[in-house]
Amino acid sequence: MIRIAAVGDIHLGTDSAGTFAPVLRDLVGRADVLLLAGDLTQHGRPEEAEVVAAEIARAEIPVVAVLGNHDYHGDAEEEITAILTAAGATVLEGAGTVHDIGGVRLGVAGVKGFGGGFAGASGSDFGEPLMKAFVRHARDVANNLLFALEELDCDIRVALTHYAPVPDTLIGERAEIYPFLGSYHLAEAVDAGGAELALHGHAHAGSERGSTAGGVPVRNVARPVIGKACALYEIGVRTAIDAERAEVRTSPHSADLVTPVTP
Amino acid sequence: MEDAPRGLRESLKRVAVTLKEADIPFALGGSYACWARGGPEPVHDVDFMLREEDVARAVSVLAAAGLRSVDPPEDWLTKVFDGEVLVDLIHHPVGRAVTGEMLERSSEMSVDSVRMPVLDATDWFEMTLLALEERYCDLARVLPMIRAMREQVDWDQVRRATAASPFAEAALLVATRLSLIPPGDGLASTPPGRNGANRKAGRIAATGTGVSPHSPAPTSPPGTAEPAIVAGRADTAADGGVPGADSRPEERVATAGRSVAGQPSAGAPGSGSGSAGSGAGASQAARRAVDPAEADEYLAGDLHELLAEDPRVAELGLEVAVREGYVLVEGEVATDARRRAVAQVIAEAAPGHPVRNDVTITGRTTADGPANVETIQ
Repeated sequence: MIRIAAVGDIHLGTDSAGTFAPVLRDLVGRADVLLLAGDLTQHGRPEEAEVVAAEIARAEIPVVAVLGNHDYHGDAEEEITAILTAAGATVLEGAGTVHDIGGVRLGVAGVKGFGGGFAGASGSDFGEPLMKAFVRHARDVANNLLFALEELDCDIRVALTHYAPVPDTLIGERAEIYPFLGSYHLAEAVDAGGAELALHGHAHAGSERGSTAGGVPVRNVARPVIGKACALYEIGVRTAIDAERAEVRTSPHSADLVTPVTP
Repeated sequence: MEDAPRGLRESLKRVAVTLKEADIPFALGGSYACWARGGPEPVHDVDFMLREEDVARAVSVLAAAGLRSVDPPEDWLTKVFDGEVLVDLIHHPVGRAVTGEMLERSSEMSVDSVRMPVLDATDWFEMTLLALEERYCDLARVLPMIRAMREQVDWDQVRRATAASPFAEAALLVATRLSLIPPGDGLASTPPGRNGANRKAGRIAATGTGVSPHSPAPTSPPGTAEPAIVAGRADTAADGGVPGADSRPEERVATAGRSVAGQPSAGAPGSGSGSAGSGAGASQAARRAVDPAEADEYLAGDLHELLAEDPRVAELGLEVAVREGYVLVEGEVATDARRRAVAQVIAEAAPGHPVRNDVTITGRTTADGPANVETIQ
């Protein structure tokens, strides 16, 4: 059993010190890893990233993050990445990371992603240079996600983005702004890259659950959507930790169960 | 679920083809017209719209084609049965005659692979909304139809044609507040010279519905400066007339005067961070101060963008509505300071407009006890 905690859009500002560290403390013993789906800061300023860094610095579980559009707003995304990395987080942009959880290798591939829209209602690589640049950026980051998923040498793959890969998890947002909320190219990468789960944020008014055309579960973990400090997901794969727990906890029960069945 | 509609569709097509072959002008109406235009599929009956003078001939050709006619007590339609399926031939929907002009406005569409005239979406909504009454006013049935057809409809025309019905007004209000349809331009806030009716004058004259093309009359005589209207509203607000105004008077900006259009108020006070980037952003935002004299919908759009761009708020998910000069802002922010900043930014950008700040605070990011765990696959 791999236990994933995830939240996006925590939007910490310089006035937010002390608000997120308790979430991490509370996850000890309940989650094996925390994934942050972007928009960690409010304005993308390094001093806000320092607040985030201080909140996650004492994490007892691995923290894996992607940045969101807010984290890019101050043109300081590299500095923010460095600040979070120094605090022990793994910040992904077109890259992956693997964590061994009781003998099972959990791989997380991450990109911020981008808008562009969903199949049948998406921007095209056509027209003005700005429009072409917009659409090409969306495709490029989706390709980066695919490469990052393919590069992972692991047992379970999770795709982590800020922007949405599917419109299912946007329900509640105005349909007119879907092209600013995500891109179906991300879903193509999730499917082609063999992910077991895709997590994203960004769409505060969206819905938690959806799935890609290929059947991969998609979860919108934006803080306002999940309505709690973070969402918890379990992937049903047996780890060495489960085996230990099973021995300690369930042996007597197993014996009880077996006995009456014996003819 | 599949069986009943299929039987209905077969009957629908049989009637349409029979009327077409007999050269009787008609249009598909009722819920199947909505279905043809993208709405939910009906499960009850099939409606066709005909002129009253054509009904007798229509009944006889349909009887010749094997349908069974029934003369109902109602005086606004007649009925034919195709086997078990009931087909209504309507000549006076909601008390108004079906006219040749109405049938000419219908569009030729492929309905389940048969081409036939389908009632114009604007006419369709006029009838549907006028049919709402005290015992039948379930908006849960109407809203999906508005969602399905909204881009095909001249909503200003629907507003004018249904203005006498409080039920229609309620449906249109809900649809407007849900941002399904554009706000009306014939309301009290319409400035002189923006009379939307002029655009539709030809259409109304053609339909002969008796609605004056100038029905949404300008609300203030020429020369009465629009700012006076707004200042009056601002006074109302200062008297406590803002709906839902709460105990935070500092957030209700009710200045009597108006700043000169395009002239930003005093430079935005810094957010206190003192960082160069933030300061530059703030002054840029102040320079972008919106023109408070412009149309409500543009003002709402500009304020929405400003709230995203101003570094004190930087919130992309807030909804801003402007109605008759009042600015309403809704949504969620993380902290109370940001909630206050929302009011501050709007006050600076649109002085003279009372603000209702319905922004709520997301709640602390702090841990909140055991959470539900979802097992994937």
